Amino acid sequence: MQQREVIRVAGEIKSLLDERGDGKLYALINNAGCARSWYMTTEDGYEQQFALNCLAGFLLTHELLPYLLKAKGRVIMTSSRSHKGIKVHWDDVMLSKRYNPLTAYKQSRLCNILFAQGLNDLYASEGLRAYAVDPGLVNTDIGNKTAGIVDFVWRLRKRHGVSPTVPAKTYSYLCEHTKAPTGLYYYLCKERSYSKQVTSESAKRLFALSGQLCGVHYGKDAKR
Amino acid sequence: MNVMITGAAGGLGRAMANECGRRGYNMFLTDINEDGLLSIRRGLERQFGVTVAAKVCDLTDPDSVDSMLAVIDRHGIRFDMLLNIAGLDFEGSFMGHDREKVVNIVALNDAATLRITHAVLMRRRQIGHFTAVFVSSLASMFPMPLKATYAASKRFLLDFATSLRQELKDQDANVLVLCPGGMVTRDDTIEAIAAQGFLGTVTTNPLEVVARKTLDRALKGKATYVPGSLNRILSFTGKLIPRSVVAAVIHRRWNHAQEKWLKNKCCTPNSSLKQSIH
Repeated sequence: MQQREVIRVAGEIKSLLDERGDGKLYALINNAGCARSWYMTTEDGYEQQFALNCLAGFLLTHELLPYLLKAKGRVIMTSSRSHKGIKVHWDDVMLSKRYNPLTAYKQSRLCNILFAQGLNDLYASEGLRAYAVDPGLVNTDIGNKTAGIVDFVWRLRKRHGVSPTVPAKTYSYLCEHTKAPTGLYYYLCKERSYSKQVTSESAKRLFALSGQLCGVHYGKDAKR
Repeated sequence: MNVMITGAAGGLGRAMANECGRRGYNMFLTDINEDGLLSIRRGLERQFGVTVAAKVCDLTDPDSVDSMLAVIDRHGIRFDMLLNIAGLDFEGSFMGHDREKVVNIVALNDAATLRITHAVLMRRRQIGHFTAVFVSSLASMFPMPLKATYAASKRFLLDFATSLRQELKDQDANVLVLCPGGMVTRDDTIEAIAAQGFLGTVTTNPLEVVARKTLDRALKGKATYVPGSLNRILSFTGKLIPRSVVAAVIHRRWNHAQEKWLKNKCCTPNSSLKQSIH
């Protein structure tokens, strides 16, 4: 969640890939995520759901991009069906003027698909493919650090949650398929429809904003 | 507008700094946590494009404060606003903590706040309005067993700020004292608030709203801000009931809340419900 931690872990992964691997990273799954019931910020002062669910993956992918490009690898973002029916609040993406924890969560999941779209726009021609996966209702620890109505919603959602092994099949399908699947958004190993808010224009806007907040720039200079 | 913020790397400090950044204010940040301080400075610059300076400082150490003031004077920085956020709490009984640990609460919450307030007032911009904000607590309204030192230290801030406001009234300056209930500043505060049950949840104030309204009210010349209607009712009711009765009721309630929280945490009795009530 903390950007200095993302940079630190990326450095360790890069060292491992350089020393023990072939300098190629075949797949990166940006699965780390959180749900919050209150407005809380990271050390950088960024709203936590946006910082972890969206920016952390953006920054980690940027740091590992040369290795992914070398392998013509795949990037998978864990998104959610809850991304539908919402827009990105471009004028206040951290929702600090009027914070609603569920809106912040849904928006961050929409950003996951926009990020995958943006990566494809930039690097699909070089063999890199990005996807967003809806894991469905899964019984995991997410939502455990919430309270009040948000805690109630998560408990209700998870009551019918499946085992994590069910959505894991979709991730392995996207990673192992020899010919990279051409879709963007998957659920249970099948391509699904996603929000009309997912456009190349919005993806570009998210890249500009996230780049500014992370102090990085995606472009041709990201190659090794 | 040049703003000095103490305790800028903590949860409330970051929220206040964000609010200042949103308004386009330039900031001088200080905190004892160097990594956190550098992170929030970087985040503010990236988010809002404002000018942010930062210096690590232990406000309880006069030499450390002098060293920070030397940097400020070298650059000729003068202030229009001071946000005294830095504060400390260790939950539990007075005798349940080491002597110096308890004394440190007063050293930071009160002595250090006086030190930095005096220093910044000496460095206020000559022309123009000045605003100072002190972060007291809802706890300052009552005698609070098991938060005895903390509550008393916050009472000191409440009384001091109210008096200072009068002293500075003719000098184009306003002093506001903020008295919030619980605020979710860290992960463990969520558990601490949950342990207090329904009352804990309903007296908890949203951080971003407190930050915004505190600045709004301070700039409008208000004297005190108790966020939340229920907290205002509680603070008013506390004045009507004999203090010994209030102390007995609070002691019973906190005992129960702490036992529940510690049971959930399975940790030592010295663990803190720090900042669950600011």
